[in-house]
Amino acid sequence: MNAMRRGALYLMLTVAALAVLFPLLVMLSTSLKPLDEVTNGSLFALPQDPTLDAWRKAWGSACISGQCSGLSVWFANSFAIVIPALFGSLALGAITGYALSLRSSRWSDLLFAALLIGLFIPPQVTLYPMIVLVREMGLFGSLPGLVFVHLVWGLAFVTLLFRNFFLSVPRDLLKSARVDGAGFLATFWYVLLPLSLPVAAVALVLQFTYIWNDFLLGLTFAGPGRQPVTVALNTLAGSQFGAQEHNVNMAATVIAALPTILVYFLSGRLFVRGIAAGAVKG
Amino acid sequence: MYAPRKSRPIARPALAAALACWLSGVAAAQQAPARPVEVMHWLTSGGESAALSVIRDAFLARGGAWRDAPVPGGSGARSAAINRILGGKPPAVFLFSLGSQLDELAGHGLVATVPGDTAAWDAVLPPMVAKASKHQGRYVAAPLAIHGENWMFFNPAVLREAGVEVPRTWPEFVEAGRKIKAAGKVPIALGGQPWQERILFNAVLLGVGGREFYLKVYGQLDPAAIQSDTMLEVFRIVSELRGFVDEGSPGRRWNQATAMLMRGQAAFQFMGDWAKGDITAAGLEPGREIGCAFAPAEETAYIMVVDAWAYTNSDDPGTRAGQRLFTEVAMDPAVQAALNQRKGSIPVRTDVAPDGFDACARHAMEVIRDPATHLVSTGLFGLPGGVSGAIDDAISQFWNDGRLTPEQGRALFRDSVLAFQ
Amino acid sequence: MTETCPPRRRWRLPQGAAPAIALVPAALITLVCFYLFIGWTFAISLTDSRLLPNWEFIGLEQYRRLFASSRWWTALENLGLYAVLFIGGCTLLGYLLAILIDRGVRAEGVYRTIFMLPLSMSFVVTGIIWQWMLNPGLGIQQAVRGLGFEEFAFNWLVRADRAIFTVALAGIWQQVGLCMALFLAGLRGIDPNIWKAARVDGIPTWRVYLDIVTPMLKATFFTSTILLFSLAVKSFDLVVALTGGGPGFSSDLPARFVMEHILTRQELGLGAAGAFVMLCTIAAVVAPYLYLQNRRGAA
Repeated sequence: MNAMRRGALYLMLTVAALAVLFPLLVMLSTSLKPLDEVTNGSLFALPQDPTLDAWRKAWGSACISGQCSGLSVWFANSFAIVIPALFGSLALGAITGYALSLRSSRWSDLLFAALLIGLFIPPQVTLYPMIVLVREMGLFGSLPGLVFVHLVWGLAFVTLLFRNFFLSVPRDLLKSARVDGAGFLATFWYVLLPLSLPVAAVALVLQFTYIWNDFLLGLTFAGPGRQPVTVALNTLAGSQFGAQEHNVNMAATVIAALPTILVYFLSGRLFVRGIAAGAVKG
Repeated sequence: MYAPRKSRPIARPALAAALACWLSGVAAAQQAPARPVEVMHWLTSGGESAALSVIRDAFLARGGAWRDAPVPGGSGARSAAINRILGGKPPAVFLFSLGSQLDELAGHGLVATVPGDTAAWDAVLPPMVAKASKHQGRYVAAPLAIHGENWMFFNPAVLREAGVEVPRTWPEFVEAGRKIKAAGKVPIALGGQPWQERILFNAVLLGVGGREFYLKVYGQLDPAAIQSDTMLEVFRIVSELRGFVDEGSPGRRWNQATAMLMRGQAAFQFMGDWAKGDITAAGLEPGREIGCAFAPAEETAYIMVVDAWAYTNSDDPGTRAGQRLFTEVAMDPAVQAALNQRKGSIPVRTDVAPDGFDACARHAMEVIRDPATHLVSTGLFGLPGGVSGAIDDAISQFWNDGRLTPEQGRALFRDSVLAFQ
Repeated sequence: MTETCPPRRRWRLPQGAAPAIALVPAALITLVCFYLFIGWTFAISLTDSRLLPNWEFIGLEQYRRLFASSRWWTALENLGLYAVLFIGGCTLLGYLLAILIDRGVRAEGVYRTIFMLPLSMSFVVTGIIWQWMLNPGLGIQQAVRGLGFEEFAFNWLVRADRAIFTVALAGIWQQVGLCMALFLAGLRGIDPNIWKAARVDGIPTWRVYLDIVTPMLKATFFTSTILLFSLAVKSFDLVVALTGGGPGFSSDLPARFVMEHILTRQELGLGAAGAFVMLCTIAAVVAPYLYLQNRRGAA
């Protein structure tokens, strides 16, 4: 590939990246301004007098729930929720997707079609029966209850990703595995899972994003004292009333998003490998 | 507080003090709730959370244990409380709005009668507030604060520049608005969200129609009043106001509109008295740098908005003791004075002295001594949320579609009410 | 594969039983949490439930009210427009970005992360930022005018006939990274021999993408379209944060209509009717699509 074409490639990517970044840069620059610059200055002006005060406040000293220690103390709750919910829903979705991709009977296609409706139900609409169900399971207001709810609302999405990916895997591969004596689980574990790393990366980052950013389910099902960081973020930034410290809000948003951003970076290795691992293209 | 533990001779007065201290400690321990009282609320912003901390501090000082459960936004917090009740693990105390939602909860037996002594409340609460706090004759909520909805904030400097006085009637206001617009300023700083548009609309409705008319329209949904010429006049004035807002109005948050006033870009804002919180936070004094007056009207009246504490049922004596203590604290006159000064509202008790309140609040406290001035916002009349929501839709549709005539506006209003009857 | 296979197993389930057992949890969740809940929603829509469910049946009255509401129709029309713009925009841009990244750029991780950043931001603050930027008095319009272009106008946020486009814009911004990630994963699954063969035959790169790679990514297109459609249908937070459904209710969407009636208007019955109509509409759109996809998949 010649230099000009590569130049054009990088130019297009960079322009797109800047366009995507622009609102975030505005956010970042706002978080570095003192409050009076936010209130009185232009939105696009760079900070005249950059300061990390808003960041410090959002992290360590903003008062949330009558406790003035910022967002820092809320992260542990979010991790306690996201880790079991994430791995639970990936495991359930992957195995379900695999079983459905075998299309061993008419019922499996029917189940797949039936399951897709789960993508389209806004969790808010069926919150009431969900509360009753979780209550009857004796899990309302507990961590297992919340994890269960995340499993339910992540099921359709993760299954869809894995099922459609596994469907594209050549049937010959599965046949040869069976000839070699691998059973249902062995084929899944030793043959399919290593192939599915890129799609697993997608499922991982998106499920992480959804569970981490969830506010409503955490608020409703987690129970007092176990609520995720998004509840604190919304308490800080979501109010319609009273003077808003927008610089602190912006800083708090970026801080609350940091673990997600870290996951995006770390998922890179999974993305890079694939069926075509190591192959040179174009 | 407590007697020193060191073994040294103790002077008699000190001993007596220590004894008294110990005794009161014992008394507090006997009353003290066994478990923390979980309080769910939406008082998350600066002034509001400062107001809440008045209650919390007094509650803690009297031996209570507090567990804070804030949820931002009134509707979010209200449904969070309901969800927790349905899940069987309710907060002991939760903030709610007076009106038909509370009534429905009480009808299902999901809220408890206010624990503690409420016998004296009838004498001190404004009658309409007392009525809205009751279900079948018993108090099911303890009102927190009285906010006023029909305030008109203004920037006196902008008014002086344009050479206008503070208008006392709506025709005067329209006149003043034209002059301000000619002077290159925005006459009305409005956040174009349905609830803010409703506040403006209701200010006109009260100003043009008077107290009786307001009561007939919202208290009784009286078809004759809704289809009257007065209603037409209301819509005519409102249609004239459309030209007084700037292009960026739709979707704007109310505090951005207040900021326009403070920066001198705009002359007037029609907003509840919570706007004073932002004015104070910006280092300005309400009543001086930013003026406050009631919205133009022939008759003086105060449209009250009241949120209140509700209590869930509990078999646990500790929780019930905590709820009782909470009620005592929240209704204590000193607590009421301090919290409302921080919240920008006025006390729900009419027997609290106006000392320490700002000029605007003092004026409101003076006015509501006359019960004839008492009005309440649409929700407190007990209108089902569906009706008041449909009215909001009608008002918002009329306001945002400049092609609609006052006649069509009146018809929209009428249809939205009739659809529910 | 022999070397990766586990040692001999002690027992073996009958052929076909293992997949069936693996599907039990998913089947249970589907049955109870999806269909039973939808059934509950339908039942509630036949009652006059307000804040809380009650079981006083009033027939199809809620549906009559729903379809008599001009606001509901506006919301449905908006959903059609929004879904087309949002799905089209995300798919095109996301696919393009994925192709660009897949050409083998340095610092792939940086670009990939940048495009996915918006996914991680809270709706409330995202809404505030976009509202500022799109506000004619504060944001882009003001800034461009400040540069000397006095006539420049970009006031879609506050125009009743354009507000829904700004919601689509913010929606695409937020979700384009999702498409990029999906397509990138799809591209990584393409057999590299295809590229070798195409190079031997001298086919230009863009033709390979258009005529060979794109048809191979059928399953990915299917996945992303379904996902985007489900996001469009559930779009709720973004509208609330950005336009609040305004001006008036010109940028309302069905999900917001339903939620507002359930949460703040004591109209559980009406909201449930709206939700049920929404789900039926979706089923009507998705079912044929699913059928065709399965047919082709089977072929």
